[in-house]
Amino acid sequence: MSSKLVVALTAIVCSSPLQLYAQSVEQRIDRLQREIDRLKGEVSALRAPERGSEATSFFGYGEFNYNRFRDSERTSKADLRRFVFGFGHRFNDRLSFNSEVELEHAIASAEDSGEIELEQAYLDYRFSDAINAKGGLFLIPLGILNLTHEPPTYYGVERNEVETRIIPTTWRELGFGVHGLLGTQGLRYDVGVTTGFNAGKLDDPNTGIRSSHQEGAQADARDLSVYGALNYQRPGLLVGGGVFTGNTGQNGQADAALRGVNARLTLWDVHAKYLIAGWDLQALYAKGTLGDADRVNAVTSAAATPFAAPKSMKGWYGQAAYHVYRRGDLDIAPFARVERIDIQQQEDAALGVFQDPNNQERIRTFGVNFYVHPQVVVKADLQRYSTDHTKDRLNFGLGYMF
Amino acid sequence: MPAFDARCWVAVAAVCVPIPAHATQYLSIEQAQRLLFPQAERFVASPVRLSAELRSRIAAESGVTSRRDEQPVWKAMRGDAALGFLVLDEVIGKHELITYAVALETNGSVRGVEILDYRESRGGEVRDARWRAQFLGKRAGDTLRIDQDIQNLSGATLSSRHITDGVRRILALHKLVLSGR
Repeated sequence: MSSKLVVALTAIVCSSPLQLYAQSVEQRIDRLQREIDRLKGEVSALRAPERGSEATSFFGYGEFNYNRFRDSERTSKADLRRFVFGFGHRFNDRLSFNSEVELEHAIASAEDSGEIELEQAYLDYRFSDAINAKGGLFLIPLGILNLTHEPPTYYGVERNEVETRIIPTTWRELGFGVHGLLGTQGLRYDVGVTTGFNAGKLDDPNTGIRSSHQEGAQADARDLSVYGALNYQRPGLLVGGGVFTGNTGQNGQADAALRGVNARLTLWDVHAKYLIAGWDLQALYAKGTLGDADRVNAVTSAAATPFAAPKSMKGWYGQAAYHVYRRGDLDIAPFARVERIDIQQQEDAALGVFQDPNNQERIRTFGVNFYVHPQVVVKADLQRYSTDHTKDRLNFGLGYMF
Repeated sequence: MPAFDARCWVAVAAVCVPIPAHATQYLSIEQAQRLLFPQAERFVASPVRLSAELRSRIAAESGVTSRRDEQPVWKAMRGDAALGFLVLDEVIGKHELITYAVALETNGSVRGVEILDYRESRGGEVRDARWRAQFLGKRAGDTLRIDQDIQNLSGATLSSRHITDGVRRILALHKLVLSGR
């Protein structure tokens, strides 16, 4: 057969009514099949996880600590240090509420040293990833520990001292803030206006500005403060810093001696955290200054135990941990941490207040975090204090978060 | 003495002016399908019923328990050829649900992970493409543990851990069920 004939015959067969009919049925079946697939897909999507917006959640964390001091003059104690629970509620996709309630030392009563306190209670509104607004009582974004302080998230039974005595963790203020992501490369900012410290309430010589924090409890708010923080993050790395500044005189509302005194506090920090090949490395530097410390001495020299007001405070620590054993949920990580604290006080011979030697301290901590579950940790460590040896101790702890 | 500089309030107010923005839902299921399988012509629903027996096998395989009775799954098709599977899943971040999708090649390795919904105000860094890229090519049997072969995100500890656990569970589901489809 010539090729011309083949072409002609093929053309005739393919254009026959029967062939055309069969083709169109096939096309229709195919169309129907696709339509069924599409509908099945839609039904499946409808049955997919509920994407509703309103929800209330409950969560908590806590720790049980045992401190055994080497010095028998010091009282060794076991303590239900913290029992924290919180509620969150999402009103819709944009608006949510968050709270944390903390019970310290198991019992809060007139005869006991326990406290019940609100660690956070704020509303958050999301305009976009870049802009979220929050208002209420919230954590100030300085340091690493202040924002993330659940026991399984840090090394050592006791929280590090730099982020206790220099940055007064857990530090929260009443106020208003804006936070969000800058771009898509892991840069996050947080800025706001809040209540600040109250120098008229200083009563602890060894914790810098900490004892004048107000914790949202009828806070004297003649002087407000501002803060700003910037953190960069990529997998395994966090680098950031923050600054907080405001007057603490509060026009003498707590102590008339501070009427007309600014007593400006500025506190800032830089920090970094790096995870690589089983190592957890972390370092932080914090520094603060308190203006008019000579005037604040009028308050501190009249305290139950008179002391000189802090005028500058700084501290740093470096910490390394290594995951020596990991299998499933089990994780054993020994660590070592070195910390330096330097709180300079405003001496005044006339008032009889001087520098406290315990405000220059070096602390070395060696221990291990043993995770029986990523959210449950057993801790043990040894702490050595270079200045105040009476604080040398052995610590054991148990912590959880959910 | 001025207690507080009024200019600060102006600055704060200025950055707070509402701007048009999207809600918490970053991707719809259809958008995630198109993003993860751009060449696919259609997606055939292929949900997996998670019987008690299957759930316990997945738990034994991955160390993670499933909470659902059914796992939404689609088979990505181009013509008659299957390109892979798209599995929709949810995990709890810190205390809110995260909805995400895992795309698997037909051989069961991870082709991509996309976050559809993230509802918490902190920890959203899990949406970072560099973090999600760590899952590419992972298969059932790989370690897939946070701080080991998947790096942690500071401040998003629980979100990153729970998504990692979720992907491990989905890879077990592929090994036990999807690989036979």
